[in-house]
Amino acid sequence: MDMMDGMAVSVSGLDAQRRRLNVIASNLANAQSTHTPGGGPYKRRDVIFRSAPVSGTFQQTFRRVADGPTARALEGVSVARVVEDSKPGQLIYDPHHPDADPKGFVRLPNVNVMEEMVNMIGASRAYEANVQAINATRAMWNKALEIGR
Amino acid sequence: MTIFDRTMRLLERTLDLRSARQRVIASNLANEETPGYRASELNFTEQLRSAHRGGLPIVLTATQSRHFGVQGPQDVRAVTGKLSEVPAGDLPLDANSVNLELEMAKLSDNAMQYNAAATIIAKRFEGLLSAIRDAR
Amino acid sequence: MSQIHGIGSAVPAIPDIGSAGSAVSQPGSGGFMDSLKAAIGKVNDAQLQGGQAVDALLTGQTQDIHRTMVALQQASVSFQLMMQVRNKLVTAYEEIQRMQI
Repeated sequence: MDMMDGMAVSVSGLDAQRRRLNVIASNLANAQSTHTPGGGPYKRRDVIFRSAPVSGTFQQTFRRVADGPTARALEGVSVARVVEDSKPGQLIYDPHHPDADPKGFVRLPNVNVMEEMVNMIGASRAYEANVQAINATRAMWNKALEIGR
Repeated sequence: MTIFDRTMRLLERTLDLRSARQRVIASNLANEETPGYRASELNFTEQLRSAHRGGLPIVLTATQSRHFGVQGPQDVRAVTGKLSEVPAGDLPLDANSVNLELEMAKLSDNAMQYNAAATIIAKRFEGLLSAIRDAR
Repeated sequence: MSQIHGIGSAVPAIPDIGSAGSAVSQPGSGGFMDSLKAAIGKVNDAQLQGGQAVDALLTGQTQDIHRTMVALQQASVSFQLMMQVRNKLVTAYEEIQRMQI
């Protein structure tokens, strides 16, 4: 009853972490972008995760082996929103910079490279965890197939 | 050793429950970074043990009786396990209680248990079929 | 006769598959035929359940392949057993036929 749904849960995890990695990559690539088409420096982006149902309807997800006080339909994960971080970045004094303001200051993007690297490692680790889950479930499936051998 | 005996029912139910548990662990891993998410776990070894021993009939709760009916089988086939929240110590800033290392360990353990039960079932059938074929 | 008795003791599954009561090793015309019919009925049930398990897997009704595999193997064991019993019965019948001459 649960193996394919279990896979779908792990796949949703892979998906979410991949999107997160994309956002982090974008942040890193634009860590020095002091000018964007919309004007102003690049604004760091972040993903907001939220649990989400994995199979079609709530009825389906409740038709499970387990039933209890904390039975939930929300076991997959999805990216609820991609948000911009509006915290202002650093202001540095560089009058020769092409994007310097009249006073000679340049507003840098609010990207902290160290923080983004740490996030990237976290996202990779989480991605890997979901890969392990899929591998384990697949191994179980294959073992069950051997019952018929 | 028959194909419909108590051990076979226990083995099959073990597979059902392990598969459900796998799904719960997968959810915890997928939501490892979801804010506010509390890790769940599915425990059933106690229930299986007492059901297999043939002890007291399983008391079905109101929710369960809607699904199974009170006349359902009272042996291991009625064991559904208990879904509960993993007790969390101090929660981090994002209120997420998933312990990645713990869940990864549970993942391996659960898969191994499932594989063991599946292998045992396979061996049983293998033995039965060869005994039948060789019966002279 | 000893052939049939041999089957009955070597594979104790028969009393489980058949109806309650007579095992194959008790030849009495009514009881024997009845329990044989019941046994065949059970084999048929097992086959049907195997088919249903496969259907359920294919239509996504159940996602756990172990249920399907176990049902299929149970059907296979039942069937093989029945075939062996049939072979033994045919052999025994032929022996009896020879005896009458």
